Amino acid sequence: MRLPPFEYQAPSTLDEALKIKRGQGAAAQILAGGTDLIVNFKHRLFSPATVISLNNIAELKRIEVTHDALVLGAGASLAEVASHPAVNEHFPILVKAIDSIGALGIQRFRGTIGGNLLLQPRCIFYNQSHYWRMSKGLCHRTGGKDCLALEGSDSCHSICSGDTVPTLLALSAQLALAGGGGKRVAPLAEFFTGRGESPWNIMPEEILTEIRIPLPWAPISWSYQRLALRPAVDFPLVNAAAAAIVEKGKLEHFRLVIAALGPAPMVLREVEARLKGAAPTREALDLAQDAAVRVAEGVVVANASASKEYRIQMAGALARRATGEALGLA
Amino acid sequence: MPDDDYKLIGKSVPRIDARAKVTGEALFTADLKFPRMLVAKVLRSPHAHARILNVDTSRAEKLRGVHAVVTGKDTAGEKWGVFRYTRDQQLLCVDKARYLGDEVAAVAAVDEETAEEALKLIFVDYEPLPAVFDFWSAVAPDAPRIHDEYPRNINVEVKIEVGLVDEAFRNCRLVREDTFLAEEDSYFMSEPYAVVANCHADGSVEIWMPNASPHTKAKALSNALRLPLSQVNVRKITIGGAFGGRSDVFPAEFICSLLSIKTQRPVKLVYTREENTIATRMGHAMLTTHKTGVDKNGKVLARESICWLDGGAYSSTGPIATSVPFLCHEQAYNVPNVRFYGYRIYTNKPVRGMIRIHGRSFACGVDTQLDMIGEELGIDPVTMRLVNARRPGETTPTGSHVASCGLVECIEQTAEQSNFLAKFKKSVPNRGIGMGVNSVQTGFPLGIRGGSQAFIKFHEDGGATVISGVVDNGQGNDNMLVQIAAEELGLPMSEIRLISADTESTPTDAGSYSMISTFGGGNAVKRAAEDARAQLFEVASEMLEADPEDLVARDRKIFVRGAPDAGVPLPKVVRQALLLGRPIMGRGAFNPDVDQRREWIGNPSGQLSQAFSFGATVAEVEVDPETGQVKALDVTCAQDCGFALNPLIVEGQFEGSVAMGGQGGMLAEEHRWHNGHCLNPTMLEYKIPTIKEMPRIKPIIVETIDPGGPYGAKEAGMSVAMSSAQAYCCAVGHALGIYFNHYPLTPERIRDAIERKQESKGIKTAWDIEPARIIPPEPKS
Ligand SMILES: Cc1cc2nc3c(=O)[nH]c(=O)nc-3n(C[C@H](O)[C@H](O)[C@H](O)COP(=O)(O)OP(=O)(O)OC[C@H]3O[C@@H](n4cnc5c(N)ncnc54)[C@H](O)[C@@H]3O)c2cc1C
Ligand code: SF4
Repeated sequence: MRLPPFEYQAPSTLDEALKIKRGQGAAAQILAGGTDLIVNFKHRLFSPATVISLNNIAELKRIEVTHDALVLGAGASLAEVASHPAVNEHFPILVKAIDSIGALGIQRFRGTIGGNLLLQPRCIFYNQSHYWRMSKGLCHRTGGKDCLALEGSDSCHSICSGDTVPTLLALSAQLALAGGGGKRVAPLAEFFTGRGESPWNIMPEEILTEIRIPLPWAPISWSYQRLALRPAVDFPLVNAAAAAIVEKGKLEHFRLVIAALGPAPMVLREVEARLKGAAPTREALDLAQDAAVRVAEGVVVANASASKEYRIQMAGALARRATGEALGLA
Repeated sequence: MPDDDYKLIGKSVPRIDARAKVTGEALFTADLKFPRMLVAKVLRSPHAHARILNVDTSRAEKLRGVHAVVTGKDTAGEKWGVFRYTRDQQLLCVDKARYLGDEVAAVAAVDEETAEEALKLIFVDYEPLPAVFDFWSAVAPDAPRIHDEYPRNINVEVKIEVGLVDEAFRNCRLVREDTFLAEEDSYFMSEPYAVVANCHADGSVEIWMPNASPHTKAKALSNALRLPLSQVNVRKITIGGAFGGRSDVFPAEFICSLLSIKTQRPVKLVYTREENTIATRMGHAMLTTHKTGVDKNGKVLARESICWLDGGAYSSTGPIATSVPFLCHEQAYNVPNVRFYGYRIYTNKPVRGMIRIHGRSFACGVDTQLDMIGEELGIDPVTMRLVNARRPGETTPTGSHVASCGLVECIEQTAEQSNFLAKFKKSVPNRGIGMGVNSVQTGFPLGIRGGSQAFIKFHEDGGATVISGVVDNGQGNDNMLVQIAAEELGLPMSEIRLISADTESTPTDAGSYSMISTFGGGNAVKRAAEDARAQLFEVASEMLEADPEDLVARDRKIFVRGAPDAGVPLPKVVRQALLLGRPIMGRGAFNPDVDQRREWIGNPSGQLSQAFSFGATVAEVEVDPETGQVKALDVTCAQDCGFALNPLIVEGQFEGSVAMGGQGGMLAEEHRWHNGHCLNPTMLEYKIPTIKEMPRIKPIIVETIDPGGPYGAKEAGMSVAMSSAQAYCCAVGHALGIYFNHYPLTPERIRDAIERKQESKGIKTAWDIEPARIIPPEPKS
């Protein structure tokens, strides 16, 4: 399969990259590791006028610890992030999530942390060849007026599939974006729109520059759970991350996120509210499972490599396991 | 026992093609480049079933860089089929498209971009027709007809009845009827399909493509292109896997040749992974209802099996595919009274062919049902299998004499080495152990192309070149031929060159399907080498003043047995023969001893194959009942391969067989569909196993020295591939106390079965599936 024709630019500074973006907006697409983008190009999901590679921009690859946060350059490779001492020290959950991504040789050495967050949401009716999609008919995401996975639906339900997404969300990460009007910082929790056809709150001229994870004020106990059909290569069918801080037997902080269900990761706030402030008990497990199933029922459609029913059930199972492991109840 | 005096045979020698493969030096079809070569692309039907009203290629033809466009008009109306009575496929659609992906037109252009652009400029008027996507709707009386000549979309009907089935059922202690269903599977060869055709000024065409039989491809193409067979030259090229999926003829090679003839240039057509999946072959979905009756000891007295196979849009190897699942099991288990009804049913889906683990629902059904019967009678799975196992010297119901058979050894050794009975009886929650048993043929009757011939010539330095029609799909056939010739001629393997799989320069061969290459091609090369050696000995006997009978060829020397130091160097004998005007030219041929009157539908009786391989596999698994995920822990597999010519390769075949048959074939591999669209045509979504989930594998080679095979060899690996699926199936069932009857056992199917189990009682299959029934003949109108 061939790539579509495009102009290729590989600036060495962020400013140059932003300049091209300002001029061309969405017609210029960012290439980080390319492990998602190139496949999408070959399937003709996009054919931009210009491709801007971030590969030569050193400032986007930095990983550093400031007084209150771990700062990951969006262009840092997944392997670099996972092997960085500060990441291992403060957030082993992120290492676990990264270790589950794709295959070592391709996705982890080439793939970047920024690309993982901005991985195009997936759908079994969308991630197909041009011939396949054209013979099937258009959907919201390809310029049509319906959803092939859920007839009559008024928006797209494609799946946010990045393995680091629920983890970073459980760690209350923030994103730094640079664009026309300079830099802005936004909580990851507010980054997702919930609509597959335009999944993120990002402007066409913006580039993701950093992911900031606040350093915890006390040790975090955590869990990352994912279910896939094979232990390597496959995208998650569902994943879940939990982060907890227990002090003096009381749960001071708890966050439970399930993802790979629909266009946005889901924070189970209700579970968080019910559990916080008390000593963790096994009731938390049922609570997490029930909440996850209820949330999943509202977002999952039949558009993945497993059935809708199975994914809903498994959202419950993984939320339960993540809660159990993070709270030491397993 | 075999002569353990062999120098190379029976030894684990590294493959001759290993270095080229691991260094990437080996060239595959897609790597070929020729001056002035054009690139071809195929326009495929966007409808699962549609009448083609008009194809307008005028704008595409005018596009700069386009050299030729072909459509159904260029086919001369010929239809192709493996058998005279199954000719149902136009190699470019003429009147109708019958599945999503059917070839409607093709272009040859200067590069891929131009070719793709040209496809967009071909305008086809379709009249979409109602389509059917499963066998139940396809056989409904009011279903749309996919081929006018086939009422109720029944493409192939095979009926076999031997013994007194109904009477035997009446005498049984226990009779069970259960139904088993398996979804479509695919080969996922590492090499996607590709063709290069190069037409010459003399009218001949050279063709390169992955294939399982160059001579069969050439024959079909010569018919379709209306060229003499000598003008259609299929060349040798490295091949990245076949598994049954490269056996018959595809539109790709016809289209590519046609474009090359039209443009008088070399043309290359490389399929995408998706095209490889939907537009070559895939495995059949299959529904099987087994009614089995046993005596009080678990001995099967009678079985009636009814199978429906979803054949997709065209016949392909239909009559074979419909029969083989039954035939494997009439070999594996000794059932005196059998009735088999097999129906291959057309649907508007990609074309189905033979696959390495063809007939999952039949095979897994047989063993699952034996376990169910065993539970009712209080007999363990090992005994159930031993009581029914085929033994040497017996004759199958359809009349094949089984000369060699080590099935009992396979069952006993896998059971013993896995400690089967202890593990089966001791119940550890969510852990299970299961056994599968199967058998395959080594060579079907294939008329004149069932035999193989070989030549051997010598170089002045004593090296030799073997010329054989056998093709290597990746399984190691080239190495097998060289190893045999080297053994017989007393040469190191490095001094033997091989010319093979080229229809212009090599003699005919059956092709590397039906597990015949070693048995047929290996025997032919062995005979050619024996012939050459006899000629060498004649010359050497004069030089050594010895009786040719007493001579030995070894280590590049010919000497009197027991006196290696007094021998003559082989090169000297070769040169002496040239001086004497008696150049050494070995010839050998082998035709398997099968009943050529046997026919798949018309006469399914007589010797099917000269030899049969047998295998037993034991799988041990652990299931996570919450997620339905299965972890395979250990697999112990045994096969009677006759004699292991190269144990390293045989064990490699066993390991690949466990991966494909058990790990992938039973736990994950299936195609998913949405109204005729295959949802998972690619490597990412079709779940072939990765190295990470593979279990520990213990291979056990059982040798019975078949009287007809070269050195006693039969075939390596197929019986393990098939029995692995059954072993995994029974093991997962044992772990959960469920008899599974819908395959593969994906996590969600397992979860579903666990939920249903809580409601059901008694010895029952997990799902109530509508049984396959005898389809009454269409009333004559
Ligand atoms: C076979 C296969 C298996 C895979 N398995 C997994 C898996 O298990 N889990 C998983 O999470 N992912 C998986 N992936 C997806 C992908 O490899 C990873 O998500 C990877 O992290 C993507 O990063 P990248 O740098 O390669 O992204 P790219 O492909 O370069 O970019 C992805 C998208 O993000 C945009 N983008 C990237 N960086 C920026 C930026 N700084 N600012 C603005 N936009 C940006 C790009 O324009 C593009 O649309 C798999 C991919 C393949 C092909
Ligand atoms: S979820 Fe629906 S709209 Fe979105 S990509 Fe899939 S089919 Fe299209």
